[in-house]
Amino acid sequence: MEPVIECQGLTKRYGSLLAVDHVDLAVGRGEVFGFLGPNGAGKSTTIRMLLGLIRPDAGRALLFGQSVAAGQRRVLKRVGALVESPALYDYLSGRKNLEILSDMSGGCPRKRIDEVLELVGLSGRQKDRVGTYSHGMRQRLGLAQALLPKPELLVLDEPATGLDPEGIVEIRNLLRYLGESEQMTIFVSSHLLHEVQATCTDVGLLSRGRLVTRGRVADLLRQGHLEATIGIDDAARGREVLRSLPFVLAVESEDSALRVRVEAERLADANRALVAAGLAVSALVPRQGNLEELYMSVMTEAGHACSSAD
Amino acid sequence: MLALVRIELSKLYRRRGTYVSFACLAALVLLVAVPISCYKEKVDHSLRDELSSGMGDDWVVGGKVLAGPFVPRVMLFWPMRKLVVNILLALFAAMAGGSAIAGEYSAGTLRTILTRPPARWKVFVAKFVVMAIYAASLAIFFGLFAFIVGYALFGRGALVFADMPADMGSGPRPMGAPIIQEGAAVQMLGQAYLLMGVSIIAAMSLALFVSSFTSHPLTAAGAALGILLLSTIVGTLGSAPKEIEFLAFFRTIRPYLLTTHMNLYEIPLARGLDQAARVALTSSAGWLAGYCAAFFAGGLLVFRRRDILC
Ligand SMILES: Nc1ncnc2c1ncn2[C@@H]1O[C@H](COP(=O)(O)OP(=O)(O)OP(=O)(O)O)[C@@H](O)[C@H]1O
Ligand SMILES: [Mg+2]
Repeated sequence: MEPVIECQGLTKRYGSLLAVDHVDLAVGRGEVFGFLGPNGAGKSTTIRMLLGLIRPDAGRALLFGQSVAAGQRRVLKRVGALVESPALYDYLSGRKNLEILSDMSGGCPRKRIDEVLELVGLSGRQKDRVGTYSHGMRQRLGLAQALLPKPELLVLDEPATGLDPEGIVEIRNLLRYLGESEQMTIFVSSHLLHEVQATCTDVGLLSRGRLVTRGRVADLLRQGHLEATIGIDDAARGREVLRSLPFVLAVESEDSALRVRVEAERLADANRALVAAGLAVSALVPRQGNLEELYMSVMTEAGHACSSAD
Repeated sequence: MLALVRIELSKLYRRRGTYVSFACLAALVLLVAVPISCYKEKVDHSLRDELSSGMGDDWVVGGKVLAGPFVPRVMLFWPMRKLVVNILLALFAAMAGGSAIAGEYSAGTLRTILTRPPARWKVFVAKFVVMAIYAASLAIFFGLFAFIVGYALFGRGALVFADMPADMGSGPRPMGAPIIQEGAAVQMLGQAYLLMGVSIIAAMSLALFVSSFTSHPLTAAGAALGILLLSTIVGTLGSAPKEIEFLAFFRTIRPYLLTTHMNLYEIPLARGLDQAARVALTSSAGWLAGYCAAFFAGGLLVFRRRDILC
């Protein structure tokens, strides 16, 4: 099946700065794709190229097989987008903004506008000028604007910035709902790794304009090794047994339990070895893999000192 | 396309700033008309003097000399019309044209609307059309308001008015003042204000052109106004008498300047539309159309390919 988003050798320079560097990426229908990377990695630049806001210096960016930059703009009817901070007309009401943007996409019933306003929790303030909105309210209106045309593909650039905790949870639930129930393909850039882990099926990690990792979240987290906490009657002996196993990478005592790091899929073998040695294993709790750790290790490997530009 | 024009229009008339220019023009008309009304007798007297100065001392001027058409005509006396058209109206055109694209660019709303399906060229054409309507409506409002105030204060009647000579005040002032019948006066002034609309459209298209490649509305407006004022200055130097030899260069380029042809609204004022005037008018109108077309084409070319980085 044709991918919904496809980048082929996508490249963008700003003067001597290579902002996006030969990115090849495909996102399939129904994926909720988290696009991660440090500040300045090139996420927004990639998103702008996808939507035809800027022209790539090399390569192509395709949506449903069509290139917006090459003038195939009808495809944008199937896309809802929020690029960086939502920019709306301050002197118009929230509702009027939506009416204008809906007219630009060929119009939609008034009921749909009511629906999205309700969905983002702005019904009560729809008649007020956007100039009077708080940061989070603008973010919500930007989201409403993206959802308005009932898109098949939703492109969101850091949708949760400025939202209150309820708002963040609402976005999480909304993205889950749209992805699972509405089968919408979602491409979302974010720095909130917990949120990404909770909502995305797939992620791509961008570092200095290069796509360094891409895969299904579950696969990536399982990749390599697994950590687990083992409750055991004799911790000292347990430690000895585990240390002798070649696939156990590390063992540490943690109160009366043990914390182990084993090669992927080998936790059961470790358990078997403990039981065979006559030890009573009272608990075996694999620790949920963590996107944050994965992110940090990938970025360190990619040589991206996360907070400092070199 | 029509939908886009409607959207641009609704954005224009919902912005409070739009009305500042109209309010300014109304204030200007009142500032001139109200004192005339207060010193009605004196003005009346001096107009009669003016009329009889062309005749012998023993002529007495009877009938009404101060009537409605006097106000729209006095708004166009030299050199005030230069200040109004080349500075005030040029400023309004530059501000509106500047904010139409560069304003939306810097506010970020351009990126919001350009992620919607309509082609960029259509967005540009819609903006151009609406800005042309706005430019023309400035001149039409100015004229109409002057007529309304004139008729409200002074009632119906013919036009008696003696203008200063337009060639930098040099040369002898013609004796006497012409009397123009009411119908002819209304027609002449109507033509002048409509042609002024054409001039402002040309200034506006310059501003929109500059706006298409600048990122801040003030930069765009400042640059456009700067160009217009520079052109006015050069044109003024170029209209100096031939005896001043070092101004020869300015005389050479004067016939090609945008602002020179923006003076076309003066043509009906000077002598009505006789054969020579028609030729001059057609030539200037052709030049303005050429300028507009060039600015339109240039703006369109830039806007279609521009990277939206804001
Ligand atoms: N208009 C511009 N002119 C010059 N350089 C730019 C411009 N916009 C972005 N860049 C550079 O391109 C690189 C990528 O920027 P981009 O905005 O795509 O990063 P990002 O991944 O979205 O970062 P963030 O997480 O901070 O939003 C950065 O180094 C940035 O400095
Ligand atoms: Mg960004």
